[in-house]
Amino acid sequence: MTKPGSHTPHPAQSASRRNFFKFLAASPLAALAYGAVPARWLDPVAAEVPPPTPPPLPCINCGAPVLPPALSGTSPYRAIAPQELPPQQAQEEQLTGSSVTSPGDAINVWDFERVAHDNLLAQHWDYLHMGVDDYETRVANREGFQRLMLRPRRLPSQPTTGFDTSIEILGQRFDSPLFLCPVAALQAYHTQGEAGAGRAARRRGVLQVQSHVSSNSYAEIAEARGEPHWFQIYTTPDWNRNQRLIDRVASQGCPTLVWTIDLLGGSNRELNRRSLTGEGSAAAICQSCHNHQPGYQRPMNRGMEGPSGERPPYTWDYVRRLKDASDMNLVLKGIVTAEEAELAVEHGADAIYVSNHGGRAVNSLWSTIDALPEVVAAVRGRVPVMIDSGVRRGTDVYKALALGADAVGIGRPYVWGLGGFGEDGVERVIDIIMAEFRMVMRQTLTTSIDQINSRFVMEAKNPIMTRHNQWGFGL
Amino acid sequence: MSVLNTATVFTASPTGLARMLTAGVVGLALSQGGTAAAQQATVDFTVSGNSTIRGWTCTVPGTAQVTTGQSTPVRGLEGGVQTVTLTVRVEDFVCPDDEMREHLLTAMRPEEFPEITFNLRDYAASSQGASTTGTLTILDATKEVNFPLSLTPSGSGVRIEGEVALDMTDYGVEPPVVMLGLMRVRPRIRIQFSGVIEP
Repeated sequence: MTKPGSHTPHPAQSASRRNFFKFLAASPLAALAYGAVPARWLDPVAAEVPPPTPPPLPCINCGAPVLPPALSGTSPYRAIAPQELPPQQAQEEQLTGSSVTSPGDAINVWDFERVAHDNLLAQHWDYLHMGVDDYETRVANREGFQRLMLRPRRLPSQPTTGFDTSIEILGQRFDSPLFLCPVAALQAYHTQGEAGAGRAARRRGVLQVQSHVSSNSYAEIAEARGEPHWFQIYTTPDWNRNQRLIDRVASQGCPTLVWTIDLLGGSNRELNRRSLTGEGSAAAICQSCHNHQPGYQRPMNRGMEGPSGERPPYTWDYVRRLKDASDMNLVLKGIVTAEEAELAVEHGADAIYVSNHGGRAVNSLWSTIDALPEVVAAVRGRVPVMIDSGVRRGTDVYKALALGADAVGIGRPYVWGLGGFGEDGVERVIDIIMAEFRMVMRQTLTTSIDQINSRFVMEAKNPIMTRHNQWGFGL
Repeated sequence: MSVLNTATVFTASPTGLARMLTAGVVGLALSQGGTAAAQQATVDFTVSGNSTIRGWTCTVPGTAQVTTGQSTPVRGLEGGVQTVTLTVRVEDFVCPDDEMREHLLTAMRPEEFPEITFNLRDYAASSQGASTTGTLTILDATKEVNFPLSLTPSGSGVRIEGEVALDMTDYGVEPPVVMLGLMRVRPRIRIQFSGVIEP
């Protein structure tokens, strides 16, 4: 056993002169002193040292980075030649997103976040971006995924054959485990609205869940998509009104009803209140928009007038009531605990949807990926488990599947794509995330969704939040 | 890169047919032309952009007139291409709502400039199609643009697809400003087109 003060070398102390000069060569600031260093000392290491990232030195007119004199083009050392330095702008854009002008130029979903931020009406952006309280749950959603690490595999025992990312859920087959979450009023971001998103989702074989407060009607979206999709409902106290809506979507072929229960207790949406100066959609800026002209109703609320009915309380019996109201499957959205997962299955839910509404319901700091394992354990395979909130990468999709999810939803990312480029942006967002996902499948030697399990992930102690956050980007 | 003679094939609408706008003409001619055969197809155009409120997309049907002949082969048109003319009537634009379409027509001034034309000067064939260069005329401004043109076999014909991004102010088009300046259309737009040329 090594005792304090022993001769066991500390790694740093064991650094050779060679390593020291490798460090020196990699340090742009130290490079200022290169002129005083004999060339023969640096020649052997120059070839081994990767091109250093230049520090954020003050730049004139923010053009090409201003380099220290020793890093000028006359430097004899190949490893630090200016033409090999990575462009400063690329590093910045990697952390904050790039305002791309074509969906094909986007490298990851953060590029679409940047585009949406640059283009959208501030109030629309704020509505999409907001979390509750101080955004802790939004942050937790990202940190939850980043706290999970992958356990890749390198070589298979047998050559791998085939590659299948398709899933089957509630009797429907899709090409991808990804799905589009219900997001309100998509025409606030692009004139194509949910119909545009639906066309993109259909082309990519992705499930789409329509929001109750959508800009397009169920029929419009189904026509654009070319097949029925799922519908998310916010119930009202008047049961008859709910029944009329349920009858309407069921008659139009909707196979599955998704009941959102995570907003029944309300939510503290401060950014929304600031953005609309406390007036909500009665603010002048909204009144100027056709969506809020007097008498305007969102499509799924039109024609719902009729005699009032009972006002049953929201209890677990309500699940059974909803289930019995139609032949549609019933999904409960917003479950994040084992106790309620068990109750949901007992009361007839056909699937459990683990969600904290993208961090815009309860400021619980309880990420959905953290909640997923206990929900999956409680469900015990009796019904499918879906998840959303904080999914931004193909690795996130993989991690959720590894912990037992059957389908993984994205919300803000596809709306960023829609806002920037309409349905082409949505399609590109799906493509990017699925390309990332397929790469993780290859890295873990998994060739179908059912091969992905918890042995491919492990929990790290601390989250690794690296993205630039000054404006709340990267969540 | 093949160096081509410009041969504008322009299906200008009579001025009397106001509010008719030809939105794209591509002329492609070889310096050494061969036997020509004209083909025509319907092409769908999509024009997309952003505003200070949200993104937007309008669509318009158009036509492609292709004259094939002896020239540098491109995928799907092994005999080469002498001219390609894409023509769109802006009057046929379909926008998400009437108000938006009205703003578009106001900006495009179809009574004065019923057509937009694109004349292709050069193209370089590749395995994916062709990289094209030519001039685009909107209102009374003509600018050179470059964009890839994809030609792929489709059934008994050839699918022609392309996309070009431009700044409408370069052509003197004033981006619409409405709602007392609350909503301003951003000048950068994307034009995509796709259609099948049948023999």
